[in-house]
Amino acid sequence: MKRYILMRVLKALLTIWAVYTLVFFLTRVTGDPIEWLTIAGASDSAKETLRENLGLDLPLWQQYFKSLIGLFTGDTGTSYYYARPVSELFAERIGPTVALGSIVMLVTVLIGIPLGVLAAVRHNTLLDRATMSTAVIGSTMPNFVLGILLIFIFSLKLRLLPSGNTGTPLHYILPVIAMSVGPTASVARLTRSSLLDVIGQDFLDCARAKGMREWKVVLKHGLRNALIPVITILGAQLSAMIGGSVVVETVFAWPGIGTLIVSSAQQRDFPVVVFGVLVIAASVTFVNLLVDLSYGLLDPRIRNS
Amino acid sequence: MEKILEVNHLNKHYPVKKGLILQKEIGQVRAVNEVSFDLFRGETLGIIGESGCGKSTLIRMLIGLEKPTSGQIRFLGQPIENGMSASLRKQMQMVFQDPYSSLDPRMSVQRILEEPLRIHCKMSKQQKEQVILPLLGQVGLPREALKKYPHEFSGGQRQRIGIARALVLEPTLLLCDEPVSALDVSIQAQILNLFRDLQRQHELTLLFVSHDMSVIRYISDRVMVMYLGQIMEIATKKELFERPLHPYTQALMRAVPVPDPERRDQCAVLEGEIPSPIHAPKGCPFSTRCPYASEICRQQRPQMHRTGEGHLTACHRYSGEVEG
Amino acid sequence: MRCKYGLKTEQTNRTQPEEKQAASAPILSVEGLKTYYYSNGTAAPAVDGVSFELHAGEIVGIVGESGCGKSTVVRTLMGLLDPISSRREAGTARLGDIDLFSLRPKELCRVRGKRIAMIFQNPLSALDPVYTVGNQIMEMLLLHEKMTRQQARERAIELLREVNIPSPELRVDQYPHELSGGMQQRVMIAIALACNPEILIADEPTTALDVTVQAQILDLLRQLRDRLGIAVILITHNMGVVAALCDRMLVMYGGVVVEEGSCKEVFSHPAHPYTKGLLAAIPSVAQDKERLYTIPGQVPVLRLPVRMCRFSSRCGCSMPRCEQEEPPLTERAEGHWCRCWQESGKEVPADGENS
Repeated sequence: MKRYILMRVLKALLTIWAVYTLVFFLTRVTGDPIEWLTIAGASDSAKETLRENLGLDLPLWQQYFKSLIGLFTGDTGTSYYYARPVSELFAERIGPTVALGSIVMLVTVLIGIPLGVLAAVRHNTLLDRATMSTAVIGSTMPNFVLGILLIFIFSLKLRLLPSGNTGTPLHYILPVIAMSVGPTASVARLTRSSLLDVIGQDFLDCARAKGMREWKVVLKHGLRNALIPVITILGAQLSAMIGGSVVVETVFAWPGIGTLIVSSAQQRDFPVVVFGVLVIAASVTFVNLLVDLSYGLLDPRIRNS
Repeated sequence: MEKILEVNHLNKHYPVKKGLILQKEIGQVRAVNEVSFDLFRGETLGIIGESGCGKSTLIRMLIGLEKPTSGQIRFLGQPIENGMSASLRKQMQMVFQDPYSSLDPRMSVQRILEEPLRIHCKMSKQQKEQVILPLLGQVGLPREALKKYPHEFSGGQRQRIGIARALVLEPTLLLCDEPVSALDVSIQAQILNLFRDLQRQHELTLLFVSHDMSVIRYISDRVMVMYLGQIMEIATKKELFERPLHPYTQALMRAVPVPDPERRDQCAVLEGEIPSPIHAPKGCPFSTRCPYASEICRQQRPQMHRTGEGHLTACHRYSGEVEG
Repeated sequence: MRCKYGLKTEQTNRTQPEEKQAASAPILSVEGLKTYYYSNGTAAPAVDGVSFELHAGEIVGIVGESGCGKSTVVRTLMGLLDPISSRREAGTARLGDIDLFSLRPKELCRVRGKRIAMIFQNPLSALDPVYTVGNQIMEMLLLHEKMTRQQARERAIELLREVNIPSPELRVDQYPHELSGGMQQRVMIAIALACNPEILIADEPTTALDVTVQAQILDLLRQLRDRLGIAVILITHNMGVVAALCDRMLVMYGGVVVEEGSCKEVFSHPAHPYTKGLLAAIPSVAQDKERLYTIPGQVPVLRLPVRMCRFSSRCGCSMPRCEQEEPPLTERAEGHWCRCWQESGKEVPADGENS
């Protein structure tokens, strides 16, 4: 098992490196950052000095290795625009993003799974059908569209909730709704179908025949067996959310990593963009690793093989 | 008598691997181990054995779904262990165990029955019907069945469809892998009788795999008993059932519950379980459970000994007899 | 005294043969049980008036082909019916002084497992793959007995030993998929026996097993009955299994019992044409049969209300009356009942010349 984890970590590092390389070169194609950083009509010599200062005069491969080596020594580079270490910028911005993400994940799990269980236990009833049709709508609605819609209704029309930025708990409401509706719906739908598969199995009847109460049968024997596909989708949703937060944060003007990456991309602030993508890629691979490892915890058949 | 099928020293070994990237072979599962037998035209050879005895792997190698590790298979005189020509392929058809999953639920019975013809012969619509309609009657299905889909039939009727599909190409050899084990007793009797009738009408040679001793006794001319990938005993039905020699065959027969409460006490229990094929015994595969096992049984794999007219037994107890 | 061909219907109170009545009152008596399946608004009578009694230490076999209702009988008794597609329409089941069907869910949970335990056809799917076998035995003990986890674990090991599982101290921590099919079924039996139930319901307990393992499990069930005096209801389609294990048997067809009696009696003098046909249709391991008898056709789809003999469409000796009126169960010999208008049905030929 330790060997397995080690191998998985190695593979994950390889993936992250590949993403890093790809993004490093792709960003360079977007154009010259100097144009952004200087005012119109700046002298050529001033531009050249700036270029030298930022290390952009070096050949591309040198820039690449310099930044890669920098990463290993803990130097994440300096933002062209803010002229501050990239790590510092991220340290300031990571708080709101993690806070938002954790709340969304919590909401997804705490609402999605119980809703799915309820729909499965009462399947083919009105409750089931209502939940599932809502879920279909929820999972098909892109979160940024929902976000704009929410802002329009609750901020602009009803003037009940703030439309953006952070500060009070009230600020969380709209972005959390926008981001968690989709994952919650998917998790609820999957929990339901996965649990329905399990509910048809003999070992639930066996547990009932032991004299176990129905709710305990469903929770102890049903849910644990149904959870494996749910964990998979949770992982996928979390990955998608990490990536998707870039867009949603922009919609809500959320002072997190997402907005930082978007604005930096517009300003051709390469070190920030590259590091941002690196952080996202690392989180996604980490989540996937966690998902794979949790299978073994949930199902002894996987653990042994 | 003409030999339809000759199997010589057939082996199928699966490697057991360990490790993630550089997988090391740590052992072998001998799913089929040194199996040799002949099959003659017009006869029914029954293969009996419990789970893990290798009967299914054997069938899969014969039909070409699995490549043998070593050994020869000759079908109608031609070697087929490395695949067979389309014309030869037509001569060997298969009836599956599960009449529910072996028929495509989206195909009408007509399409199911016509499909082999489409693949192997160029035929007009009328010609196809001329082949299919009489066959439908022979397996006891009404003409209206053609337009229906598999889910509209009961298990027994579906197995009839499966048998008709196997017969469309007029094969010489029919491989039957547990064709009645999913069926109820009264339906099983219908299908077993159907096999007998069809065998006579079409001059079929049958290889009939079953785990049920009484089914094997009813349908077979000769019987082969398998255990952990090896043949334990092979004999004519009469010999095998009246004079079973291998201790495993004897145990198998005593284990079958007989529908007669007066004979309850004759049911004897064989202790232990079939060993895992990964840790198969070194000598005789049955030595771990055999009441007569001695040192040689645990050390050395017994050869097939000739123990009567057309009767071979792989047991050291008969080593005095001529080798077969 | 009772006349030999006395009428026996679901409504009349049934009396057992005198010697049995003297020996013991039944521990379970089922009366007029009806369970229907519903689909697309039509009702199918899966069980349509089944009555039987079970005495302490007795093994009763319910035998029949798929769709005859044998499993539905026991699933109804255990309260394991799917509430959406099926419903118990009528009937009582008295376990001692309580009626199983009038229990509230909480009370039923105290009976299930504790007084009536059940084992299933496929042990691998009846055991939860994600818990150890020890955990699953302990679960039963902790539900019904006042025990600590440690005590329950020791009892679980003891139970594994009782069902002849070698090295139970190691097996207790294994998962179901690590055991062979025979071992899994032994674990199921250990779970069922955990709280010393009065009744064990075994639903096709050996169907998924190899024949030598089946013999071991049948032997184990027989030992348990002899040692613990547990009463067993055995559901099977295999006449050989019934003959090997049961004292009494019920033959079911189309949702009703068509024949009932001691195993010895039914096997030596089968009265109902269906029973006779079934016995003649089984190939024999002990002798060669020239040709198997076949029961023509297949199980009919029944519509309510049934006003004919359910077997009449496949019966070789069907009379006009069979298609107008359902025959009652009548007593043919001491304790041997048969549901047929023929007073002594025609003999079925041993080698089936019918087809």
